[in-house]
Amino acid sequence: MIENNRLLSLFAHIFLLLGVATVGFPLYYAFVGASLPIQEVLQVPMPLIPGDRLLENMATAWDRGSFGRQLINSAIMATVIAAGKITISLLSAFAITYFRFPCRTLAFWAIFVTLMLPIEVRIVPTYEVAANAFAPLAWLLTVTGIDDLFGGRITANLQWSLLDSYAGLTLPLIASATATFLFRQFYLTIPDDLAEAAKIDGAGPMRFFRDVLLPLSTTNIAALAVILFVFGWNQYLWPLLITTDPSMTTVVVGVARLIPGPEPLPAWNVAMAGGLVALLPPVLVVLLMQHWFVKGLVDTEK
Amino acid sequence: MIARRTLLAAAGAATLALGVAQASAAPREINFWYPLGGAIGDLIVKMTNDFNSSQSDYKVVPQFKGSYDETFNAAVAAYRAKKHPHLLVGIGAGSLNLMLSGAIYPVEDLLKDHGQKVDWASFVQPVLDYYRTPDGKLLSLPFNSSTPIFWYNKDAFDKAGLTEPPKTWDDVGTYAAKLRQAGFDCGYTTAWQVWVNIDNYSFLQNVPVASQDNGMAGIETEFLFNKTRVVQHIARLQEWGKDGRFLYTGRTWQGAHGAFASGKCAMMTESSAGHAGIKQAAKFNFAASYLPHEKDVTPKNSLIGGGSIWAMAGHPKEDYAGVAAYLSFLTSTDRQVEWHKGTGYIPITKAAYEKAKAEGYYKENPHQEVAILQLMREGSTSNTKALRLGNYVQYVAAIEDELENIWGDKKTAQQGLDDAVRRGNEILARFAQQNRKR
Amino acid sequence: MIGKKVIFRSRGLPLLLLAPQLLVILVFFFWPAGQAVYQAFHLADPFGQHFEYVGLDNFRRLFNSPEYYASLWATTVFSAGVAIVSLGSGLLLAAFVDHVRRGRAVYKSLIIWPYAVAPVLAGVLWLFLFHPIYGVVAFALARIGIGWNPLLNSNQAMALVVMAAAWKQVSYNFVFFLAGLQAIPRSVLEAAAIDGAGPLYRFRTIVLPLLTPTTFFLLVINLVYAFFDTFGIIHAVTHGGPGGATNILVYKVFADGFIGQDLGSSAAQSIVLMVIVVSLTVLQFRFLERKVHYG
Repeated sequence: MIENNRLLSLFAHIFLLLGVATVGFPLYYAFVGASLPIQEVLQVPMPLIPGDRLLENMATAWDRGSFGRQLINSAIMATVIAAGKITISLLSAFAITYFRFPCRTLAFWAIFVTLMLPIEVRIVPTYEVAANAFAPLAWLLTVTGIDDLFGGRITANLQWSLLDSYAGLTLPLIASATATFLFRQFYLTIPDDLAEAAKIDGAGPMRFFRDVLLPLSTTNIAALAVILFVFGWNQYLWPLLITTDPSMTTVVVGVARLIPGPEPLPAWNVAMAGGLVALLPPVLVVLLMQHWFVKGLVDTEK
Repeated sequence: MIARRTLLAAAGAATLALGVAQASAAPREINFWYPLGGAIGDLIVKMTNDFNSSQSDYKVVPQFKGSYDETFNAAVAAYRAKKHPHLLVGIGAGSLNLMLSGAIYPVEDLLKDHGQKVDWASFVQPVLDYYRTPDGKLLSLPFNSSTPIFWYNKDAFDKAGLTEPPKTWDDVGTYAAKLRQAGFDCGYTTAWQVWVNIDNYSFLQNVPVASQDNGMAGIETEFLFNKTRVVQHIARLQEWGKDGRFLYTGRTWQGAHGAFASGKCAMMTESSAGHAGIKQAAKFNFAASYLPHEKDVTPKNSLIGGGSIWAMAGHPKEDYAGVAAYLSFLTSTDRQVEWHKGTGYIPITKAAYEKAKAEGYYKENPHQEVAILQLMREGSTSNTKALRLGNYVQYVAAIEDELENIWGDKKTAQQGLDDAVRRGNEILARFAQQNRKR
Repeated sequence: MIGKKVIFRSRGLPLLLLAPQLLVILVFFFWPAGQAVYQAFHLADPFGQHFEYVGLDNFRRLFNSPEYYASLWATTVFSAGVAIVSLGSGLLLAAFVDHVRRGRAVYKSLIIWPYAVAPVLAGVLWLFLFHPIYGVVAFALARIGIGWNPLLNSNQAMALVVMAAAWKQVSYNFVFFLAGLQAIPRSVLEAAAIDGAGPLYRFRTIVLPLLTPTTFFLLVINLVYAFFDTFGIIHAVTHGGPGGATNILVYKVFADGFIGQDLGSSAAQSIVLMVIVVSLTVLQFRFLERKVHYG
């Protein structure tokens, strides 16, 4: 039995309480701001004790931001990003870890490099692709001269606009490698004996994938689902650019609309109340899923 | 047989009629993107809804697109993909980039082409001038315009034994010292330091910010503010910073508002449109006056800020008739008065100003009249007409950087402004290179 | 690159498995990124009217600009700071949560939930806390006589953005470290305890080495985060100021490219940035991954 060091435990509790307070304080303060009338939210410094206007401010934010539809859009966007990224990453990490094939290293790096250039930095060209997702194909056909064989008719008809669509909101954000990287790390910790045994039993790779890897990965998948859901939910710049139809926009964009710009009446209380509304779903996901979330990562090392 | 033919014809006519009916039932959509959130965004939506319900041919879709930068970028990206809006609110100081973009339809032409008669002479001229070509054509419609004015805490002034707002910058220094003695943390602070203390300072003292008539006469421009009185002004503020007569509160408006409204700083230069925010937060009497000037000059007009509405090119001709109708709707006197009162921005027509005045609006809101009168001062010169330089966002960031080096005492005013001009000139040269071959 | 000893043999299958991912990144990553690279050798106006080949001019400008070197240095300080602060506090919090018997679940929840805050909102929150004029923490500091002015003091500004960026990342690190800690077999620690090893000693000699895979993974993730995902926070909190003190490379890319619309220069900067991070990552893989224990 490990000794029970009281002093250390006491210290641990003190440290944790301080840590929790530090980490949580900005959010508490946002909650305070969201509950104040405007005169008080503009005081310097803003009060530390919550007021009684929380629901009122939230209602104002809800109306101004037209949050109803936006919450649905955000949920769809976040879910599709999480599901899509996990699916393609499970497969590609499997390929990279369990097979040896030409260009394996190249494929790995090709995927890995996508971590290095977030969408905000390549946003204008990405938007152009989103406006016509067939643009790369059209370019290829033109350069290779194939298009000329058909008198330019192919490229002229290759139009697939993703603007104002869920595909546009999600696909460009699925194009990065965090999940692949994580699954690769996880697969590397899985004992080789399992694959060996599967091979001896005569199981093919896909059977091994389905019967062994997937079940072992469920908890990791759950953990990643949380991470990616939050990632997708919190996107700002991309949904702002890609949607012009108000009914396609997301709640984070709706909240940003409430943040006072250069010269209007700075209704920070409403902005913060809106922030809380937008914050609630991902926080709930993180909290409700935390059992799976943490357990998934614990099981990694079994 | 005949009956059948008649029937067919009747059916055809009915379909045709139905088609026409459908065409008129589905109004043409006009997209309008702007960077104004909060209560102002709400007012745009309200005014737009008024327009939409006043006729049935067009439906303007108002869309908030983030900050000025984000809105502009969204429009650029959309333009490249040919999905751009019809109307766009751009920041005034960034006008040159849009002007030379080849992507716009000058609003004066647009209105004329679609039979909207607008009496430009009835507009507030300094506001219009800002958006005109050198030969006088209006390129975009002034929309959310404001100008910086001088705000002061009346209770603090009483306490320090001061009765009148300061007229000159020397007064500001003296007042600041007195306020300090009366127990106030800081004397003077400013929002939007570049706009106020370089651009507007130069305008009032009638000195150039940049060559080529502040960029109005050509795009091969250079900054000049490191060779004018601006240097002494900045050096003076740096000096005041050492004993609390001046306090730097950040690049935008929040810091200055906080310092002023909490009673920390008793004097502030900030946009005339900042009133609503100050009023909500300040628990003391305050007032606004004209921007101070040097004691040996008769001050010229100030410079506007804010943004204007641009019409973007490349849409079907029929759409533009609706665009013209909408713009014309926005310039009507009643709309302008509603906008002026609802937002604190300056009215763009004299009629709206007169109407608001007749309604007694300026008795309750004297700061608004200060802004308008300060803008409309007679005797505008080539130094005070406008400021039109390329790559605004980039050069202003470089100047902010160097001003911070001055306030932080890392550089003298002259060194800092020299570096600001060097960096700014590189940015202007790059813009000129991009736009030379036209 | 590390792979498995036991492998499956197939030619077509791995490519088929990779296809969806490769297709998506080809269209939505490499195509736009390729255009960005192409742009790095051009001078263009954003509306696409003027497009001029300028060779290496965009790069030359960068390396002749004192501001760019200042930005490189700021990036070094910033990313090291973020990695140290967020990994360090994540590990400490995890170790203590792992240690305590009571309240573990509550602590866990309270540390995890800030992970869900959108960066757009995080920036605003930090200003309300730390803005020298209206921030409540700044106010408290002034009360006890500490001069706090990140608007003018470069070091304080750097400390502020490091804290804000690390704050966003602590929960993430915490979760991974806690998972790593809980995976350590109790029996090993008990055996060491019976041998008389104290808690600190055990932590250093048993726990830390066993956490190396987690730490390695997190180090890569944290550096990538600090290098690329932090411009939103910088934009909200300091705008790169004062005097460029927090103008890190990715913020410069964002500010010059997205905000300032200088696509050529911004693209050139992205390339330099990618070269830096790719080489850092390769180094990490080469020298660190060998020392990492994979269970």
